[in-house]
Amino acid sequence: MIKTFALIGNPNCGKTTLFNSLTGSTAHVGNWPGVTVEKREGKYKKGKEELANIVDLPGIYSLSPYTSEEIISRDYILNEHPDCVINVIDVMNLERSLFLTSQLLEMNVPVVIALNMLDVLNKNNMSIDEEKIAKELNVPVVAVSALKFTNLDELMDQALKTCEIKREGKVIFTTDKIELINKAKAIYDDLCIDNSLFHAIKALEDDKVEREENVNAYDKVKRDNLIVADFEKNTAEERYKYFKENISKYRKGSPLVDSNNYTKSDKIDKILTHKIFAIPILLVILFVIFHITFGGDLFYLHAMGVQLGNYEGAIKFVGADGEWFHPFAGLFYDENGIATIGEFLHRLIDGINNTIIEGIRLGISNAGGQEWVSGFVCDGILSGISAVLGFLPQILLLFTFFSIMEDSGYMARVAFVLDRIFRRFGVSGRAFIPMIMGFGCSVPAMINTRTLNSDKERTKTIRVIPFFTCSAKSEILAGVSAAFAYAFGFDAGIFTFLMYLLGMCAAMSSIIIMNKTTLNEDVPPFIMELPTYQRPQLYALFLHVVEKGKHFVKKAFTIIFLSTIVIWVFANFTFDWRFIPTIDDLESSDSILAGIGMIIQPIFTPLGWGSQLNTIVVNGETINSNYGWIYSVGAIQGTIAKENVVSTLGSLGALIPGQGDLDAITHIIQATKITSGGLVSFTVFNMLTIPCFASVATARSEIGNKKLYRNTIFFWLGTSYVAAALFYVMIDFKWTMGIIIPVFALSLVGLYFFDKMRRNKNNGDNNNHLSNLTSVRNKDHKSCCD
Amino acid sequence: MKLSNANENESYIVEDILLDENTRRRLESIAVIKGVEIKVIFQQKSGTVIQVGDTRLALDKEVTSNIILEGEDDSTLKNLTGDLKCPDCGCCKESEGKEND
Repeated sequence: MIKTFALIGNPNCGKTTLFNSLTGSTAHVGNWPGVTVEKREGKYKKGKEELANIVDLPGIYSLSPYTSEEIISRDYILNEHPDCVINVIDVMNLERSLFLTSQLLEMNVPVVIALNMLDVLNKNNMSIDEEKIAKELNVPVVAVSALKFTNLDELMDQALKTCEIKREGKVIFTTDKIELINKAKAIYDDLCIDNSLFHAIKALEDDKVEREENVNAYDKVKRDNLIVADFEKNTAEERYKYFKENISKYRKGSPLVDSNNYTKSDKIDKILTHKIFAIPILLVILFVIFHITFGGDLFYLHAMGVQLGNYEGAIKFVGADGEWFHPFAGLFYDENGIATIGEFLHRLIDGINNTIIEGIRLGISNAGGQEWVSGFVCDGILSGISAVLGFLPQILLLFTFFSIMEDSGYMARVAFVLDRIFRRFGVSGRAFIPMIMGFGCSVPAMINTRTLNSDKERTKTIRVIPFFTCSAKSEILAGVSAAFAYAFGFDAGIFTFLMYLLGMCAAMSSIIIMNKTTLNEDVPPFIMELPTYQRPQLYALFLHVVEKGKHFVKKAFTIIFLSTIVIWVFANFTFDWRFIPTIDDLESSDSILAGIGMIIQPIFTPLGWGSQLNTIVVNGETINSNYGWIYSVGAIQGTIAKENVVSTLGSLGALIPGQGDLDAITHIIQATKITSGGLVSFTVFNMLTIPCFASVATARSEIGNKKLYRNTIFFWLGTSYVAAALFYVMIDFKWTMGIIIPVFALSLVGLYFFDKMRRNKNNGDNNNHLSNLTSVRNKDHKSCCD
Repeated sequence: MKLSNANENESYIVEDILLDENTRRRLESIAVIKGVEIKVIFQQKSGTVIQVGDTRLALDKEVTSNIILEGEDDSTLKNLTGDLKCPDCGCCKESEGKEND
């Protein structure tokens, strides 16, 4: 039977790198704590033979849980009974890592220790005597380098041997409390509880999870007066004393430092965490990332006067409509300037997609195929999907940049630098990590909130994660910003950046309000390990980006594929199932989709893209517009998956006559005569509302509490609706700013005084506690006057 | 002295940790305990970056204000008690001075 091995260790010890090296899997590797939250499983093979299942547990510092992540790891070992636990230790952080090891060795589970980062050890001219450590701890120890694939087979061979040998838990450190421990262990043995030594020590430490899980045993331990004050504190000191005296000596040498005792990481930190420059540096980095990914004028050269002229493209052919078709027009530069890398890739993919679509359309036409077939395949399925895939390069580029920030170690510094600011809003700097992941996808970001300490902080963070523009929403931005630039002359890169900023501001404002009202609490302290800076591993980076790309493409070819087909059918058939394009007196506004859209359209009238779009003024004449419902349908479709907004607009835009070379969204803007305020409102609504069904489901499982979850849905819908309405009103009816801004300011003042009243009441309670504390201190100091 | 007042690039011994149990246990699991030697790398507005053994840790002001280091102790009393001082002599140093007279 195939064995199961669990990888356990501190965050940043290289567990996931080891997991990737052993299994060849694509689990993400980041260089700051908390990036792996769920366990990942893979197979270890030698040749073609599968030898073991490997489970990568979340990184933890101890088996006395501080976060739910640590409970997941602890529960896995205690309840799932892996055949062997491979304790991965960062050999460059030996003493700290051994705290977890000492607790692990108190369990009845076979253990092998992997001293990882052998390559870093050698680079610093250091050495380790793993045999002596093995003898001291009485478990096998193998020095490895997961990155360089050094000694991995030896490690696995050792694990396969060790898992056959039963092991009893043991206290490895010297303690004067051994009698207490043995008495408590006897209680657990009498009750036939497995891993009695481990549980006994937890009970003596007054561990809250132990109190809840083994009530009878804990109560007996308490009744027998075995629980003494400061047991846990004292044994922690004894553990570290043991490591220092008995293990540390087997590692020779120390990390390379300069004459001021600063390492390379310290020198970089002096700049990147500078008191004044840290945040401006971060903002510049983020701006550059967004500009390179979405901007249409590289480094604003065109704006500064660099002109290269139009580029039509050498590749052209006659389309099904008999007109010349230039799929790669404006590939490198156009009238707006030189394309940035992201914009170039987007145009390239768009060009390839459009070439394929037009080629297929031509082929069907030449083969005498029916119009509805051509429409279904080209305008329904392919147009919708290509509208999504066209943005894939930009999404992947964004992922690459954020992964570089993670893998290099910069993200941890950012969390620390921002902690002071975030704390004022009511969350710790650690909340920055799931929030920044929200720029990729809301689902893993919400899962990552398990690293936060309190339920309230977790709920607050989950509620604002959707405000950070995820990859799917960035598609909407990419499409709308380009159309906005074309229609209203506003720079696409700046529009995009402002929308990202809006999301962040909405998130911070919401947290402040929640912290001062329904979810108020003191922010837990910020304690975080700062890993050494390192060059991102290209292979891991590549794997991560490919994984994200696969996930995105899979979503495109499942949910979006089905949605696109449904939309095309509803858009091209009437309620009595007649195909619209073949019947002369019918238009797309007679379709099923238009019917649904017109019913829901009035809901969005206060937002500027509702019923007011049913009539447009052309050359002074008011006429009926048949396409205003498109925005409503797009927004509703967006709640299933945000990519649907772009694919819906893409499919529906193709139905409006006269598109020519215009992209779908620009074409829809022109046909519906939506105002700039209405378009901004539409964008804001989609940026702030429910991200997708997957994130709704994730929020449900992460929040747990039904009432909080229900309120979260209302919060998302309410915030997006109100914010979109405000933007529409302030942009299109500028005089309203004179009312809205003062009302907003007054509300903030009211909130400030409400919060102050609440704090004054709490301070009264705290002062009593403080005077108790000071009376103890005064007692000590009073003796100086005796 | 409090960790938040410690000087950069100097080493100290932790004398006491005056924090709630959860936070104290968290610090213990990353080797910040009474009697351990720490080195202050940076003092920032957000808090302090310290080195404990081979590990670099970032701690916020709330934590660093409640980690007491061996050394000059006046600020500890003042900050814990606010304006409260020794009711008889005003502060400990004054009383020591009186004793020496």
